Amino acid sequence: MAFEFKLPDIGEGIHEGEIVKWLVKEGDTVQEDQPIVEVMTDKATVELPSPVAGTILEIRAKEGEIVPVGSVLVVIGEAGEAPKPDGKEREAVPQPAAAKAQEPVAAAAAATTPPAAPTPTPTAEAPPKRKRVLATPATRKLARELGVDLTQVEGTGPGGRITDEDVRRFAERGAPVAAPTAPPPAPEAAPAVTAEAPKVEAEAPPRPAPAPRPVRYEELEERVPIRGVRKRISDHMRHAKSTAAHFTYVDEVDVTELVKIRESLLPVAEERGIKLTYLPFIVKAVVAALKKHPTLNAHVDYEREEIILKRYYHIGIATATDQGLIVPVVKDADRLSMLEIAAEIQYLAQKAREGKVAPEDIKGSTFTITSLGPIGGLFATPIINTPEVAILGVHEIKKRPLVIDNEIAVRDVMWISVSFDHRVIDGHVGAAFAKDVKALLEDPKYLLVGA
Amino acid sequence: MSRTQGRWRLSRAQYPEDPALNYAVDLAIAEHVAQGSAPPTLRVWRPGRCLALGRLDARLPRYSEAVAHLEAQGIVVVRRSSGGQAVWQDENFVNVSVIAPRERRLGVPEAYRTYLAGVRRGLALLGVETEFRHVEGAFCDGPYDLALRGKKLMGTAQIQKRGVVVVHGTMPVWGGLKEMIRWVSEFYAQAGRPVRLREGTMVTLSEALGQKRGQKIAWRELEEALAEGHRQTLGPLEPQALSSSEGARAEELRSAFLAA
Repeated sequence: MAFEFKLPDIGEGIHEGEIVKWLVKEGDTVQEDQPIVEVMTDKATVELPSPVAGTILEIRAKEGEIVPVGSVLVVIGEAGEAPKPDGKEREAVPQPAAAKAQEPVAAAAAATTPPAAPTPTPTAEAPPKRKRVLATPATRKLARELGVDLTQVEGTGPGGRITDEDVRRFAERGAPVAAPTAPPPAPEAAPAVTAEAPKVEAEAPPRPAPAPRPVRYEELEERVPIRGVRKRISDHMRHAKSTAAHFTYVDEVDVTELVKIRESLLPVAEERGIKLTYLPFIVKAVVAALKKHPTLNAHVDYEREEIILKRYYHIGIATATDQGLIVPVVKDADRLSMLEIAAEIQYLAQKAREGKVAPEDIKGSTFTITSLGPIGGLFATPIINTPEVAILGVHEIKKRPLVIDNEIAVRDVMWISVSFDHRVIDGHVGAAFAKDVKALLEDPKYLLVGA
Repeated sequence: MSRTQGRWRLSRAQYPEDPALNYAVDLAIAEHVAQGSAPPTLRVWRPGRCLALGRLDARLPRYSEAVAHLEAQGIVVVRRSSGGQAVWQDENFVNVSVIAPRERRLGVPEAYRTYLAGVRRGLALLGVETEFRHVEGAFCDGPYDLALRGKKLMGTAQIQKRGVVVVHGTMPVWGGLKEMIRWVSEFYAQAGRPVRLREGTMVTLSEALGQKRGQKIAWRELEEALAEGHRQTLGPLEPQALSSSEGARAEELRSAFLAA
């Protein structure tokens, strides 16, 4: 019986490892406990020993490949034995246990067709006759895509290995295709599932003849490495989303007054070469509200089980750049005037877009604001810029009907969405903070005294 | 853990003038420890001036060109057997290798914690309390680097083979960060996968100490602290030279560590 050796969890909570080097090749005999592969994760190179003695039947992961924990790396068995399932598990899609237990071809079919039909699967009837197939994982994948049964293909590669070319040639000759792409079973064979299955009986229009298709769709794909800023964003977001217990609070803000005030200040700002957006007002409102709710201007150090309350106000402004999202920081925002904040944001955003932002300008924020602004949308569920504990999302300002004194009025309205880390911020605290931000923006004269 | 808890060897073997040999020594010791023909070893050594690439760097799109580019400027380029990114090495750095028998399956984090306990204690004896932390923007970053107040102090890596575990650390002591940024950036830019290191994310041991004592540390004092930290956490430790078999094996392995 072939043994499938799966990538074990070699760290605590490690999800994947990179195959550095195979120390064996297909056809080799291995002893129990003999090192067979080197895997790397977290800058650790670990040799994994074979848990069983036997022959390497099939190597399923290539050097350089990054594989999730639990995926099959290699199949070990007796010489001449067929490697058990045909590589399906490598896709790491969790399949129902029942499907796994079935014969390989049936299991593959189960993924695409309703399971009820007892279509006789020829290989299920006569499993021991299957000849040994030599092919790389990539070739096996190609064969699956083209619906080619590798046991029927003559290999022309070294040692009878089946090459991509062999598979394509076989597919073009129009040789019989394997079960997975066979038409679905006749409807009457599956009465039990018709209630749930979409009705595609006789009335269904005939399927149009397929247009000529490229042989390999991979050729129409582009692989873009996740590197640099994108990699940092990706790691950071995954960390944030998997550690902080997010909850998001949404409210609408009547900014009619704010719109007027900003408009009246535009010429003043312009005289000094400053573009006055709504952000400085929002920063001011946030700082004022943070002073009232100090637990929100904080970092979490979960390793030491501490909340670090910050007595300074460094406000991060999430900014879109060509390379991706970066978050320049307006330092000591509580000590800056509205126009100074505006100038600082303008300077930082410009630097960020030019890719010239200094490292210290994107560090040390205590609270972050993300503005989707004119792109619009009602609200979002922003991801906290950890180790911070909250983030404010602001959205498009738009004329909307509001009920004021029992009458419908057309007002300038902006929605805000605030995400909090519920591990350390209770719902009522978060809500009170959001209410204060809202109140300050609705009646901006309080910004004069609030901050 | 019986052997590990036994007597450790403090090795001072170092060949700063031959960076490839310097790295090969660790592997030679590891092979001997795995066979039981050498004691578990703490090696405290000074690297020579070189750029030490990570094991997987050879897969970079323009690897050979980048190596040639650096060598044309007189930089020796070697390839470590451990993973992670390239690190700059010169006389400003101290490297630590903890090489111990591996008698059972050992988790990656567990190995870092166990075998770096001595280094951490040694640094603590000097007044530098470190934590395991991933510092982005620092050299060769990884989740089990040693950091001081959020800044990276020591880069770490490990190798687990049959019968042996090797945990490495490299630490800038008297300087070297500017060169780190310059050469690491230049290498990856040439190799077609630019990285960005930021000086503010890293700290040298001298800087760390300077905040407390305003003086530079001597090699001898640092080695003694690391040895004492090791004794307090991992067990008795005595200075002892490499065996002739280990020395000969290091010479044999040397060429495998040259990048070009």
